[in-house]
Amino acid sequence: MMDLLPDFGKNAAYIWACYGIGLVLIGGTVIGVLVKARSAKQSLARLKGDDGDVT
Amino acid sequence: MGMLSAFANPHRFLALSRWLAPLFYLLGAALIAWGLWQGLWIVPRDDYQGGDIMRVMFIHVPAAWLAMASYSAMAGASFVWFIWRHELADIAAKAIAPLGATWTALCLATGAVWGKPTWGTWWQWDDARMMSVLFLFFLFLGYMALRAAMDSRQKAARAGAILAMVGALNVPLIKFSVDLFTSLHQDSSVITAEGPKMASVYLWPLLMSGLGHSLLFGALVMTLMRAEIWTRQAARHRARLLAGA
Repeated sequence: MMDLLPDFGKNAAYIWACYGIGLVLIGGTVIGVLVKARSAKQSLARLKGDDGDVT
Repeated sequence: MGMLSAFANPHRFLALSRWLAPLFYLLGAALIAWGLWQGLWIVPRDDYQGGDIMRVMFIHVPAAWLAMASYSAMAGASFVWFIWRHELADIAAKAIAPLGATWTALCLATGAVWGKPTWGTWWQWDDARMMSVLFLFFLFLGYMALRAAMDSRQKAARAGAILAMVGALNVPLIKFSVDLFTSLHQDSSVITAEGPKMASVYLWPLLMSGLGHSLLFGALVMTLMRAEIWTRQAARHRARLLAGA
């Protein structure tokens, strides 16, 4: 597994930290946004009933 | 312009974004992954730019572009709402704010981590580039806080629009801060009057990564806008139910 990762020498910790921060921030945002949209859609559908037109 | 007109109606927007958002998610993720693979595994180290640490560029620079572009888009949408009172423009501005704050935070965090091995410091309080981007981050937070503090949607839209438009003055200040003031930050090397100064082996992965981040950002904005439209429809539906009861 470690062989697959490139060797960045003394800068490795800084480089992987940056991409780790990116993964956490962007990944967390994508999940949060999708959960929020799903929740809003379900709330409206419940209000409108089963035949509600929620695009 | 035709596409913008189609988007201008909430129902058309919902229909269009239903397939456009997933497409943007897929293309954005693919381009970001390609840029990541190129930046970390393929492109050669550049000793002129500090060796391997320059690989941080493939996430830091797209984040910086998105930070500025998203604020400009928020200010533009606010302007459209302010002049034409178009509800969808206000919904777009509201959706952009938390995402713009996220990409600005990413820019600040990756810039600090890149700065430590390059300049010997995480942060410089009197650096114009760093402080203007930090100010941009606070503008996004201030915009969200201001909207949340208002007791009606109309007041929130108006106060937010004014703040967004005034704060737009900070965007050119960020762009030209390295030219106008003393800064640890390097000069622009992609968007310059003479064209990109960067070798194409680095430029293409950077541009594709930037496009990927933009598409992902666009998909997230559309998703948040859809959520806001549904939330407003639900509020109207509840009001009708209460009025009929």
